[in-house]
Amino acid sequence: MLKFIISATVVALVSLLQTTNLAFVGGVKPDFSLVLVLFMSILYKDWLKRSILIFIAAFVLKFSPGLEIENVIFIVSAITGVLLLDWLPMSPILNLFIITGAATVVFNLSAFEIQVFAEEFIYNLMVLSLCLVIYNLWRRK
Amino acid sequence: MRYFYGALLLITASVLLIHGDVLSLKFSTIRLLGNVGQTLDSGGNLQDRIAILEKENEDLRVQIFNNSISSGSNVKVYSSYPFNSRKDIIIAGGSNDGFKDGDVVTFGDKILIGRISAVFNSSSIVKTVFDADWEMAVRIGVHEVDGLFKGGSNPTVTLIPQEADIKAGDLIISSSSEFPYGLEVGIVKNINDVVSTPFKAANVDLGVQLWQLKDVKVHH
Repeated sequence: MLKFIISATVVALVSLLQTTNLAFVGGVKPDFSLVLVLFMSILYKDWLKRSILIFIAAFVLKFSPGLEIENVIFIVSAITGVLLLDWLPMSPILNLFIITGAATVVFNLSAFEIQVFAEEFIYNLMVLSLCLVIYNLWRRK
Repeated sequence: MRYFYGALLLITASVLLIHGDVLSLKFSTIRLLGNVGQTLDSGGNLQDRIAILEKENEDLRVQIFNNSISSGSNVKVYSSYPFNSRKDIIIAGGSNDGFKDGDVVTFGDKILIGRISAVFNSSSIVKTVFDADWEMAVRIGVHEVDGLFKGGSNPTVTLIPQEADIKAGDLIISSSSEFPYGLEVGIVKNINDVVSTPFKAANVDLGVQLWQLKDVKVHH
C-alpha cells in the first residue's frame, strides 16, 4: 500500500511539473505524465490502481473548468496504451516502447505539427528510458 | 596622498552612478557628438539622412503608442498548458483584479504575448501568439509592409506582396484592430521568396519564448 501511495504521489508531482515552464525542452513539452502512467502499468497489474494513477494525472493536468478535449484524449490514450500493453505478445519493456510511441501518435492527432510530434516522440522515449534506468537501479539496491 | 585621490575618485564615481544622471549624460554626449559629426559632414549621403528620419519616425510612433495605452498590471504566470496542442498560459489575475475577456497581454510594455480568453475570479487563461492557430494582421519594417502573422512552433508572416521591400532583421509590429497599434511581435528571420507566386512569406523570430515567461503585463 505504501508503495502505491508513493507511486500516486510521484504521478501527481510529475503531472504538476508538466504544467510549469520547467517541463519545456526546447519549445516542446514531453509527456512525462503519460509515460510515467504507462510505465507504472507494468508494475501494477490491478486495473483499479492503474485507473487511479491515470485519473490522478488527468486531474492534475486539467487546465480549466469544464470538459477539455485534450484531457479526454489523455485518458483515452493512457487507457488504450495500458490495454495494448497487456495484449501485445512481446516482452513488457519492448511493448512499453511501442505503446509509448503509439500513444504519442494518438495524442498528437488533435493538433498535428510534424516537427513538434517528432521532438515529442523522441523525448517521450528518452523519458521512458530514464524511468527504466531509475527503476533498475532502485531494484538492485 | 594616493589613497586620498583614490577615495575621491571612488566617491565621485559612486555619486555619479547612484544619482543616475550618468545615463542621460552619456546619451546626451553621444547625441551631441552625432550632431557635431552631421554638421561637419553637411554634404552627407541623402539615403543615410532618410534612414535617420525613418528611425526617428519609428521612435516617435513607439512613444505615441506608449502614451496612448493605459498603464498595465504586472502579473505572474502560474503555468503553461501541459500539452503541445495549445500554447495557453494561466496568469495570477482575474475578474477580482479588473481583468476581462480580450484584454491584451504583453511582455514588458511592448512585446505582444496574447490576449485573455477566459477570466475566473483570481486567474485568467491567455491565448498566446505561440499557438498554431493564432493569426493577426501585422506590418513589417520601416516601410510598414502589410502581412498576416501565423503563430506556432515556426511562426511566419504570409501574404507579403512580392515587390515589398523587406529584409532579415526588420521589426514586425501588430496592426490588427484588436490590439494597440505598434506592439512588437518579433523580427524577420529569413524570407521565403518564390518568384512565380504573387506573395512571399517570412519566418519570424519572436521577441520572447514561451518558457521565458514569468511575469507579464495585462492592459485593460
